[in-house]
Amino acid sequence: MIIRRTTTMLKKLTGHKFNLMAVVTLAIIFVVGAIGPFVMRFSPLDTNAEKRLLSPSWTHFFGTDELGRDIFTRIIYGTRISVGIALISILVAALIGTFIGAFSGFVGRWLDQLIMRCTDVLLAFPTLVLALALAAALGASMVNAAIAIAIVKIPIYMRLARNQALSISERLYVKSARTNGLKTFWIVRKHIVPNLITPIIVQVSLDIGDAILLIATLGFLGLGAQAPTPEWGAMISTGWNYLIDQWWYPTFTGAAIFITVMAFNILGDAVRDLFDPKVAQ
Amino acid sequence: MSQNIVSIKDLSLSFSIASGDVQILNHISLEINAGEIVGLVGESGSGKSVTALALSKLLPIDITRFTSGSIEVQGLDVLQSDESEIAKIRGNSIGFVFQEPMTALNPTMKIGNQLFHVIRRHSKVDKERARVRVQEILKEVMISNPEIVAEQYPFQLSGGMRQRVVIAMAMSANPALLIADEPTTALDVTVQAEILSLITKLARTHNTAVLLISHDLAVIASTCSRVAVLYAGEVVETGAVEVVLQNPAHPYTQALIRSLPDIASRDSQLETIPGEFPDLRTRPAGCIYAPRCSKRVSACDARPTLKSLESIVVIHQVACWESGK
Amino acid sequence: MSLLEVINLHKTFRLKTKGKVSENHAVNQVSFSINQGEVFGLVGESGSGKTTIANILMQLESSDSGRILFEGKEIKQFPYGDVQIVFQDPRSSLDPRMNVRTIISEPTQRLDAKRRNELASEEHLVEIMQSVGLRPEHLDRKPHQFSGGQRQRIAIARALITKPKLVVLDEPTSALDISVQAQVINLLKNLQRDNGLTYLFISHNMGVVKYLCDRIGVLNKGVLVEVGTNAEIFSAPTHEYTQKLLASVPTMHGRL
Repeated sequence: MIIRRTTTMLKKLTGHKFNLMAVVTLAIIFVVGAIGPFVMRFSPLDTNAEKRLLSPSWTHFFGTDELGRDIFTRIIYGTRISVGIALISILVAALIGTFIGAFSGFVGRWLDQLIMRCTDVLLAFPTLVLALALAAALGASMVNAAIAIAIVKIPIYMRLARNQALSISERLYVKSARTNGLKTFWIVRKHIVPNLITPIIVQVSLDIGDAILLIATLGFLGLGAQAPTPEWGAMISTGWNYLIDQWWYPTFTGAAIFITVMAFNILGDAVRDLFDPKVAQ
Repeated sequence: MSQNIVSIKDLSLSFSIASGDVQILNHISLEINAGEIVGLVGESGSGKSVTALALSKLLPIDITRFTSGSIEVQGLDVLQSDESEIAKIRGNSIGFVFQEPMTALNPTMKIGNQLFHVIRRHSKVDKERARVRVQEILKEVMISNPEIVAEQYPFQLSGGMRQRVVIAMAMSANPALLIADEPTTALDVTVQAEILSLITKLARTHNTAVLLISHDLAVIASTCSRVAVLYAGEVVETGAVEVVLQNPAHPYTQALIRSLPDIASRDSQLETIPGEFPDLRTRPAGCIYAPRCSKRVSACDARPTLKSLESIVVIHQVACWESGK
Repeated sequence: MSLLEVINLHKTFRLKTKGKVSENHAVNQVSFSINQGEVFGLVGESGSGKTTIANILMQLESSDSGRILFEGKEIKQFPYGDVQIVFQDPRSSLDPRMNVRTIISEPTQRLDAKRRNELASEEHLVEIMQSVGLRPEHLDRKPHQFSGGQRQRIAIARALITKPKLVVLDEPTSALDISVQAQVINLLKNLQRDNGLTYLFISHNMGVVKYLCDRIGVLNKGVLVEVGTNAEIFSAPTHEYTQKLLASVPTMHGRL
């Protein structure tokens, strides 16, 4: 039963060639991120003064950087960081935001107003600006970048969950649970959150691409993972200085970011269409 | 002999959905003449709302297939006409009243304004004349303070008042046919009585043909002159309302009436219809009601068609091998 | 023996429109009592207050004033499991994400451990399912796999799981087809008789009320205008509103 539904969903997801390409790309990225580091010949950290800034060759597919490190290897290793942090940040944001939002929508009254006004304040800031400010305040590191992104994304899920929770709270099965004396947390956990999970999933899939870009931006500005960690944004940060003579340095990294973000965005659209009742008909 | 407004002959239609083709209507025929109030009664899934929508081709184009028969409204062949021709008769020759008045009315527009636009859409009157007409039709639907109501928004009116406004809109172009699909189901009992008598009055004064759709037999009994009983997309019985409801000939109609608590004795159990509603994806070759029928015989393996019963004064037709004997 | 006594129940809604405050007495000094083992009908149109009264009894809304006596004792809150409710809409009264087993055993959550173990046990679940005309294998299915009438049976099963003393039924058959309605009405009648239940039956459908209810209260705009036995209300209504209400009901034999 579950298998049948999964295959139907997969079929719908990969229906269009576009979606299929995105799913395949993502599958490759995931595989690369997971096992890539185990099969690499070089280490991403090994410096070698003699091999500085070599152009792409069969030994070094994407060339080497100013410290003689193999760029291809660094990009592969960087996949884990970019995609990994993005996923973790968004999932944490979704988890926290959804529960707080659902609780707020169900309980209502002054508590709901208070929580929503706080959400409004956070949502008033442009995402990037807020992330920058938070990352700078917390101190430049990978973990802090992840925290900053999560904090920036939480209000979105809070609002989304809260709005859904408002209407779900009026449904008769929630009223029935209340008449039986069930506690608030129980009702939020068992009745409210499971019934608003669909728009949350859609939002998560749309947000991952955005998160990857945010991490790269923070990294580019020196606010994310610090050297020598092979984070894509940081790599471009040093790399773009060499753009004219050693074009390969920033270009391949940039392409990696571009392809990954695009693939996630297309997947996000496909997931949204999958659950949109009008399109599904 | 009054003029024939609606003539549905042998109509069949199906919906093509993911799981297959579902035969919604199966060879149904129905006639409505000017000034007549004809009732279409059935439970959910019987196809009664689909019939109403089919009359003006309001069914979703991409999944609807008309597999047989014809629909004529005032002589116009609905199935053969294209969208622009049908669009002309909607609102003009056919007025609609649906169950939920709040979805028929624009909540952000004043009542008078909405009526004004509908009137201007369907007749070439100038603005002054149209405004006067708004007041006229509001009075006709028994709204006692039309000047005030015209300035109000739908949310300020009660359910009954809103439905009167919807009826006013439907009747504004003096249509030859009024389709009312469960017009009183969402209303209180006392209001329901008023709306039904309003519809009756309007039909009489304007000689409008009315198709009244309902699942409530009592509503049909009190308002209609003729009734057709729909079961799973087939007309199983039709005739004058007194005859069909007082002396039902089809086992389904009989079972339906006997399952009502209104006249049942408090000591007895209500009669129920055994079995379940049929799966319309696979219509049996025989009588559609046979699986649940207490009077089933071998003849029922072949589909019965409507035949007239011996009746001197009124028409009474039933699609059943066992009745009328 | 009076099982439930409602004394001077009152609830007012205050509306502020254009600076003026208007008061709507949704439930206006309503008093009635329900005897053990009887089916008490509460009829009225929209705005009569019947739903508000049900909500107050089920603690979904609060009242402004009034007393409630249950089994002779004044209470603020019914003991868990003693009073249950069946709602009108079978589509939204069951959580689409849960299976039937979880849905119908939910009311046992707040009971003490001993009662909970007994009432939420597999044997009791199976027994309840069979008593509402469903099969044990249905326990593992989800609501969307059932028809409207079956879902209403599930809602009834959920209401009965705690062996309640009073069951409030808020328009339980109004959203069902005629043929399904008859089945559910028969079921409700049999369950009441077999288990000695007491019903508060709220409805605007006079035919069903006439068939099921022993005593009836008539509400108009928050005021309880008349209370009487089935025979009294339907054969010789004394209040003007009751008469008007009964006169508006269309019957199978044409206009009254």
